[in-house]
Amino acid sequence: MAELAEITEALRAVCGEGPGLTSRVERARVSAISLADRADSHGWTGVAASMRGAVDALRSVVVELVESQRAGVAALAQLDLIDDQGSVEQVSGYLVGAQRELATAVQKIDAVAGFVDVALHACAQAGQRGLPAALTAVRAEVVETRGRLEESRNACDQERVLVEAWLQENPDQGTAGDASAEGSTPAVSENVAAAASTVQPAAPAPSPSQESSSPVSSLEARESFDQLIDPAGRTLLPREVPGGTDSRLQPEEGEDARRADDIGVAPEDGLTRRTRRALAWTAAGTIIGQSTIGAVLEFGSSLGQAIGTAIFGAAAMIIEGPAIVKTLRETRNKKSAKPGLRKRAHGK
Amino acid sequence: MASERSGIDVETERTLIKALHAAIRDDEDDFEAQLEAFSTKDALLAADARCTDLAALIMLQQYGGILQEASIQELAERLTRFASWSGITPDEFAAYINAIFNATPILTVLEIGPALRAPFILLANLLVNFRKDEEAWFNYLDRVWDSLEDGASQS
Repeated sequence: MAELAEITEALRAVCGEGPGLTSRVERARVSAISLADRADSHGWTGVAASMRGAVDALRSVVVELVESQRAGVAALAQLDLIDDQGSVEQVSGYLVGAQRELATAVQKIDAVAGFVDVALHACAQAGQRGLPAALTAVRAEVVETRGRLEESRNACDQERVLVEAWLQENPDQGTAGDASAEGSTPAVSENVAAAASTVQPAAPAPSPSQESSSPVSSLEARESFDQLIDPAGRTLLPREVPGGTDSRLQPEEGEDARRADDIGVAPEDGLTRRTRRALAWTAAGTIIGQSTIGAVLEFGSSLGQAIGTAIFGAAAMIIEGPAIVKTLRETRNKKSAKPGLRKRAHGK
Repeated sequence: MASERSGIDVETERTLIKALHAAIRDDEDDFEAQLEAFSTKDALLAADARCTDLAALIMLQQYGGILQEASIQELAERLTRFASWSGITPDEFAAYINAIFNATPILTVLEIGPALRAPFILLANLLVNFRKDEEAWFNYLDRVWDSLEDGASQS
C-alpha cells in the first residue's frame, strides 16, 4: 500500500497539471471561436453553427475542469492537515474528507470527458480536422487524470481502513497526541509522520539559477510563460532570499501611520496623472493597459499572457454576467469578530 | 471573447483607483459600492486581473523574487488585519498569493467572494507599505503601472 506521503505527492502532481490542461482547452476554445467566425464570414451557416456548438461544449469543459481542480486541491488540503501530532481519529476524518473531495473531482472530470466528446462530435459535423487532433490529445489526458484521481481516492480509502482497523485494535490510542506517543503506533502513523516531514509547499523548488539573490530586474532570461511559472517546477523566477527575522513590511504601527497619511490623499476627480494621460490617448484612439507576464517580471515574454489574465481568465466563464452585483452582495463580508481597523489605526 | 492581451478602459481604471482608496480608507461600504460600480462582470474581472499584475510586480521587486512561505504568511496575516471588515482569512489571502506565483486559476483555490475582493486589498496594502515616504499612494501606483506597460510595450 502506498504511504501517505506518496499519496499526497501523487495528488499534488495531478493538481499541478490542472492549470496547464485548462490552458490547452482554453486555446482550443479560442481556435473554435475563430473557426466559427471564419465560417460565418463565408456564409457557411451550418458549419458555423456546428463550431458554435463546439465552443459551448469547450466552455463547459473549462467550467468542469476548474471545479475538478478545486475539489482536488481541497482533497490535498485535507491530506496536508495530517501530521504526527493529531489523533488517529483526526487522521481518519481527514482521509474521509479527502475521499469525499476526490469523489467530486472524479465526477467533474467525467463531465469534462463528456463535454470533450460533444466538442469532438461538433467538429466532426463541421468537417473540421485540425482541432479534433488537439481535442483527442486533451481527452487522453483527461482520461489519464481521471485514473490518477481514482487511484488517489482508492489509496485514501485503503489508508483510512488501516487507520480504523488499528483504532479498533487499540481503542485507548485514538485521542489527540496518542498516535505518535507510543512506539507501538502502526505503520500508518509512520506514514503520517513521513508525510509531514517530506511534503513540500506547492510552490516549485528553485533551480540553481534561482538561488542567487539577484533582483528580478537584473535577470536577462527570456522564456515563455509556461517556463516562467509552471506548477511542475520548471520556473525560472528567482525566489526571495530568506531574510531571517527581518520583515520587508513596515511595522504594524508604521503601516497604520502611513495609512492614516494616505486616507485624505486622493487623486483629483479620481484621475491620476497616468489616467489623465490615458484619457488623452484614448481620445486619440490608442488602446491602453496592455500588459504581459513578461512586463510584470521585466523579462519579456514570448507568449505575452498576463498573470492576472491567467488567474482570472477562467473566472469570466464561470461567473454569470448579469448576476455579478447579486454575487457581490451575497458574498459580502463574512464578518470578522475583530474590531474595525479604523478604530485601531486612526482612533475613530 | 477575452483577449490574451486584454486591455482595460479608463473608466474601469478610475473605478479601480476608487476601490483602492476605499480599501486604504478602511471604508467597507464605499469599497463594496465601487465593486458594484464596475460597468460589467468583465470590467470587474479585468480590474481584478490588473490589480494582480500590479501586486505581482510590486512583490517581485520588493521581495527580490517569489515570496518565501514565511513572507506569504506574514503578508496574509497583515492583509486580514488591514481589511478585517472583509472577513477574508489569512489562509485565503495566502492561497491567493500562492495562486499568483503558481498561475493557478483563482476559482480553484478561493470562493468567489474572496476571489473578487482580495486583489484590491492586497494591492492597496502593498501601496501603503512600499511607497516612498513622501510619495502619495496613487503616484506610486502610477509609477508601478507605467513600468508594467513600458515593459509590455518593449516585450
